[in-house]
Amino acid sequence: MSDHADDGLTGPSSLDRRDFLKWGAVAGGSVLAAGGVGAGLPLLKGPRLPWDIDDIGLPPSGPVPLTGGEWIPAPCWHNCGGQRCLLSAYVVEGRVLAVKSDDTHPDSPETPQMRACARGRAQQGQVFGPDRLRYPMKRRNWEPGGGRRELRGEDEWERISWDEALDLTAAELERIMAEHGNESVLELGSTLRRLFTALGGAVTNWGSTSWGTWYHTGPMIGLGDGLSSTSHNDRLDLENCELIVLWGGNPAWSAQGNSMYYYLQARRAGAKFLFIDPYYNDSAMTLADEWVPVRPGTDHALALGMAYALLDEDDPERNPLVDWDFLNRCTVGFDPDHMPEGADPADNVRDYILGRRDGVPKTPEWAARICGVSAPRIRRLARRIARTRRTALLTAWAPARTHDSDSWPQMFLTLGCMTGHIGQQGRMTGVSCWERTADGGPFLVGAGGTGVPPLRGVPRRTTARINNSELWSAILEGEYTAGDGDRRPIDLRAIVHDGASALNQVSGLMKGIEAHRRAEFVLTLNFVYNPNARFSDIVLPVTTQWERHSYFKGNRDHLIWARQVVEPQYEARDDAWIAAELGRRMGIDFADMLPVSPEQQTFNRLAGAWVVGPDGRGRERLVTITKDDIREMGVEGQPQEGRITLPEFREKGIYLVPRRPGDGLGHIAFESFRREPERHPLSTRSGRFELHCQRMAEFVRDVGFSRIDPIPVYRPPAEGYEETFDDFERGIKGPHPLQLITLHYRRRTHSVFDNVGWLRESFPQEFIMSSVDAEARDLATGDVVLIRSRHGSVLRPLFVTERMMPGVVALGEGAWADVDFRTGLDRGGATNVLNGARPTGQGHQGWNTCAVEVTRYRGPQRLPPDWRQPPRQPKGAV
Amino acid sequence: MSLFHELPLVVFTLAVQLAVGSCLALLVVRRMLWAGGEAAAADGMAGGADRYRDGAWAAWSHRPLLLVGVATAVGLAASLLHLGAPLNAVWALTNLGSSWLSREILAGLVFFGLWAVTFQLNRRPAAATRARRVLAPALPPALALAGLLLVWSVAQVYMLPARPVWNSWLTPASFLLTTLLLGTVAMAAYLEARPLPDPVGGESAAPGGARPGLVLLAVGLAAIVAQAAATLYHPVTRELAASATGSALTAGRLALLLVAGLLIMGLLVRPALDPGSAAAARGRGRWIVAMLLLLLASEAVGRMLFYAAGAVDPF
Amino acid sequence: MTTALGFRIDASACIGCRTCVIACKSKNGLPPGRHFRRVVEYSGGGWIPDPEDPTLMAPSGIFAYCLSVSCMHCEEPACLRACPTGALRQRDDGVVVIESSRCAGCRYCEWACPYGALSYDPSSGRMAKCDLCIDLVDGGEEPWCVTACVTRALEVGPIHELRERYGSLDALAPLPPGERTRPRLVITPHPHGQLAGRGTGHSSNPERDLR
Repeated sequence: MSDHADDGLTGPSSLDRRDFLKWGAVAGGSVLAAGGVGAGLPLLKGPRLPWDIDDIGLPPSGPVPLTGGEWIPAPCWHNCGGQRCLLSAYVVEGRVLAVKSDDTHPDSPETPQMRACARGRAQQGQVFGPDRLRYPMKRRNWEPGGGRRELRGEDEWERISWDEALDLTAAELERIMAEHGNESVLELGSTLRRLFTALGGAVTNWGSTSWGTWYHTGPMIGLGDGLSSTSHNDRLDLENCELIVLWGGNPAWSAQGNSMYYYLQARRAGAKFLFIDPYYNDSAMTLADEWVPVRPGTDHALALGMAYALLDEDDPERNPLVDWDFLNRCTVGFDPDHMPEGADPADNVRDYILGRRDGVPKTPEWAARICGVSAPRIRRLARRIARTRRTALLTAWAPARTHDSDSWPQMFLTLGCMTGHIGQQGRMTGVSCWERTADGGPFLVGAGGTGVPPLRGVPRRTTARINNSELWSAILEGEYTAGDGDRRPIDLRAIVHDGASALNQVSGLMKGIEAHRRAEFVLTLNFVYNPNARFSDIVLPVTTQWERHSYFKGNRDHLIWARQVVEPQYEARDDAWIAAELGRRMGIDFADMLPVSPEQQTFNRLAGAWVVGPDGRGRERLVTITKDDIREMGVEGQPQEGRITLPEFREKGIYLVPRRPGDGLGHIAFESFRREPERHPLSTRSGRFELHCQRMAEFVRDVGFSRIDPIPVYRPPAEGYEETFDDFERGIKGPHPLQLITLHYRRRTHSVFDNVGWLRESFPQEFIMSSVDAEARDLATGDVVLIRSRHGSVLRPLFVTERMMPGVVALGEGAWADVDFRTGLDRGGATNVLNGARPTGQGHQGWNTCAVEVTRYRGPQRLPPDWRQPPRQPKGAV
Repeated sequence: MSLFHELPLVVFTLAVQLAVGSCLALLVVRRMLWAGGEAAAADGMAGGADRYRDGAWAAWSHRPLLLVGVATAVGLAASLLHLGAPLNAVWALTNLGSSWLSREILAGLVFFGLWAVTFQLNRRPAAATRARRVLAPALPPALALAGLLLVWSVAQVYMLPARPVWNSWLTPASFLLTTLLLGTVAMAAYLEARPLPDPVGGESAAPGGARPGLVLLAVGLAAIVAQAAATLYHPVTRELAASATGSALTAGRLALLLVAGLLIMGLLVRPALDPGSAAAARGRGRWIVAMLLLLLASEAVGRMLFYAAGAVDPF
Repeated sequence: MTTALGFRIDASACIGCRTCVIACKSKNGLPPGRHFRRVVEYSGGGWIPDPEDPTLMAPSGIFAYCLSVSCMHCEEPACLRACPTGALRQRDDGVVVIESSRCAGCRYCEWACPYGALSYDPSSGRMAKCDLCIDLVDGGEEPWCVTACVTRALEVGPIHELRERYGSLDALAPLPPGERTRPRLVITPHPHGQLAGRGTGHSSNPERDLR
């Protein structure tokens, strides 16, 4: 029982009942969930009860009558890390009454139903939610040129017509581009990309986000990045594993849908699971036979310690731990005899590990001090992985989402190569996360192209691209890094949020707010009043995928075709229409912007859809299309033969490739390469796995933030464990002694879904702390704590658990910032308030390296549970 | 912690316990009146004293009985407010076989019915019928007994294995102690405002040699001490120990009990020093009313905490 | 009652994802603050100085598991005994249902149920609860919580069949021992599952603890 949560004493007292009713009234035809009829005498029941909050995204309370409507496939469209699940919406008179999961075919482990997670099942709360953007709006104190810019984020709003909104937007963008050039507009999404291309381009952003350093390092050293290409075997082969190492991953949270089900099949087949992670997370809870807690950002040091132990204890005769055959045939850079062309033989990995290069042997004892795993345990860990023949050495992106970690993927690969767990049944090394969790290999089915021709022949007036970690400083300081020693001036006047959620989702949020208040013009296209919209001047409401013609999604062995579920809500419009209308006002031909109708695009994707042939060879057409189908769709095309008829595909919304063991559709990553590296070289410079990768070192140098070695040298990361100390050598802790990790949180997919009542209730955006650290600070679950980093401060309710490693704290990423401008504190729990914008290495986001301190909050701010707080809605207009 | 969510039940249980406690206290007072009467009867004045006694008792007890009735009615009305669909309360007696709530409601109705009869007869003491003469002596004990059964059944409602915080013998014990301390102190206050008539029509204020008010206060003091002890050991208190609000309110409640207890001790000692003038009696009366308010506050806080600790998710 | 239905939960496969909870809310139209089904988390263990390196801390017996809990449609339902109006009744197939027209909304069943399965509906002033999706089950389908489960950890069926197949374990900490109400529940234990009433851990649900 916790005091701050006293619902008898606190509550959303700043809002009265009328406000709630007002929200209900503007919902237009929605039915209020709460009612007073028969509810006794509310006055005598004390203060407001939770159910007094009308979540108008929901149908009326009580069993949902499933009559008089139809089920329409309504899969998620989000960047969720899930398996691309199928959902169906029950639609009655344009309203969705309920959402159910895939039941289009019988469920089996080999060909499972694509079951969705809690977020997908709560989708209706998002499409029909109370904070849906309804009409075009203008900030009250905005005028061309900016008006009172400092009021962004706090100003009131005025509802305006589409014509006025489009006219104002086009005129202001034209004015700024005319006065300051194309290089004064920063486009931070992509849905207006075609418009800006037609206008000669705008400044865009770059830099790896979720991938961490896997994005660039992975492919350069010969492994996949984990999304566009994979390095692990397919899900049915996981059942051949004896040991599955999951290093820094929590698919139960970050890759929802079937991925944990796939891992559970492997467990049932006898695989043991070893988790290496600071948090005994829900995946570890379900699967782990062994858990090795490790400090964030120190995985590289741990792996070095293990590598040392392998070299130290390896005896090719009596105790073979290192797969020298694999190292010699399939890699370059491990020892002086196998260096890539032109490399200094002294720059080899073995001698670095043994300390012959820098005088510091990377012994388990050396590693223990950094990573927090005892030396004997590091040795046991190394032995276990090396001695278990069929081992999957899998990692997620999280350990690479740390500063200065450009060499970590290479170190991970080194471990995989030393143990030889690559390219054979039940043996693999690589990234297994996000939607490719537990299922590697090329796709077996896919959709065709849209047939929309790219815009050609428009001269580019800017090529400037700004790293994510310099976006806000570029606006505030007028300078950005364009390369090694190449700082360039830039004069950014307009910010365009066409999709994405850059303000909330890029490091350095507090600076971002400042930058938004500096700009002359901020435009947002979105369907909810998220932080982007809140800090804008003009907001244009867009449709969700449920309101659009159709879209395609898929994964390795299924393809989803989703058609329109409901009519556009309120005055929302498709981004493409908005782009075309803006273009028309700016002198761009309408036909250039919308060259292919949505119907024809859908048809093109269906007609071009393919499925792998029997035994995994060749491709066949997927969809059977008749003349009638073409006539009915009102498009141009030819009939064709395929595996599934168009009406059946439309009805079911999904096509799955049936799977069974030995069906020829399985995948062993690098199998042919391992057998014959000369005949099947990798796409690296040397054609082998590059444990010495000159290209990577050059790439990082050219980016211009820092330097790395071509071999996996451990570099203490900015704001890593070492920086929690004032004096690391003498063990004196500094003012930010705790390490924060930012988790993919189950309430959201990044910032999406943060507004849905059901999910806010189920997942309270708790701040997670180890019981050891809580005891030391006299804190308990339910306390409101103040979390301070070098970059900002956040208030959150504390959740204490023994499952977190001491010294480490965690917060889910993606919560919408709710900064109180008097105190400067963020009440929403937005991790990018804490994560500073510190570009390192390849310019990736280092979200899992952040040093913080946590204290009990004693100030005046109240913090009722998120789900009892009012929905985020624009002041003055809804 | 939800202190106010079960406010109707706080009112219901406290009002009923005040009513029942008052009935028990009335029984004690009546017993003492009668004891005084028997002493007088021994002096050979039996018949006339009986009649006088009946009339005097009826007049004296009219207001206390009214209080009992009003408190019970308020309690029962409050219990209806607890219901989400009060109209369906008509079905409430259909599960007497297993539901303590059904039994509680039955006990409440029986108690209220007996009170109505008692009150009715009391209003017309002169109409001495045969039936009345038989009933009159039996009714107060019957009412007290029905009241005890009611308090017992109210307590049994909370003896749920699913609610370990409630499911303790200390729950019926503390309900009974609330009953005793509220009833005795309420009647002691009334006694100060309106002293008991002489059993034989004289002026003596201390029939049987003991002032009934002091006896009631002594019982009340014992109940207060026991209640404090019960509070300390009740699982509810343990459950709330982790919560700052909960432990602060528990401490506050104990403080209220302590102050009330000390006041009573003072009053118990004082009459020996200051044989009462009318003014002194009025002063005492005010003190006792203040005490009663303290005790009501203490028990209300205690009951709120009782619900706050128990009416939570089981895990 | 050999045809009585019950649930099986596979605690070794439950990842605590709450999909069953949301599916149930969707089917039954339950706003935030109300639920017929929820996930109970139980965890324990702690940290000790690492015996191999006193400068470090090492985890000692740290464990966690989740149980998805709704109405257990008990053989001896405490709610049925408690209900003063007789609004609660048990069908021949063991499903405990509530007759709304008779419910007075006294919430006594809510207190009596050791599983927290009953939910007060303030809009009607009456209680509501899991009815095992009997509208679907009677039509040959499965309850939504079951078809929602991404790890296939929930199952519904004739309880005697479930017991034959999966054993008779009907409680794990922090659930109450089964003998109280004889729930129609079969649990496949988590490897770290602890006996009901004798657990060394504690229940730890962020959504409950921070409510």
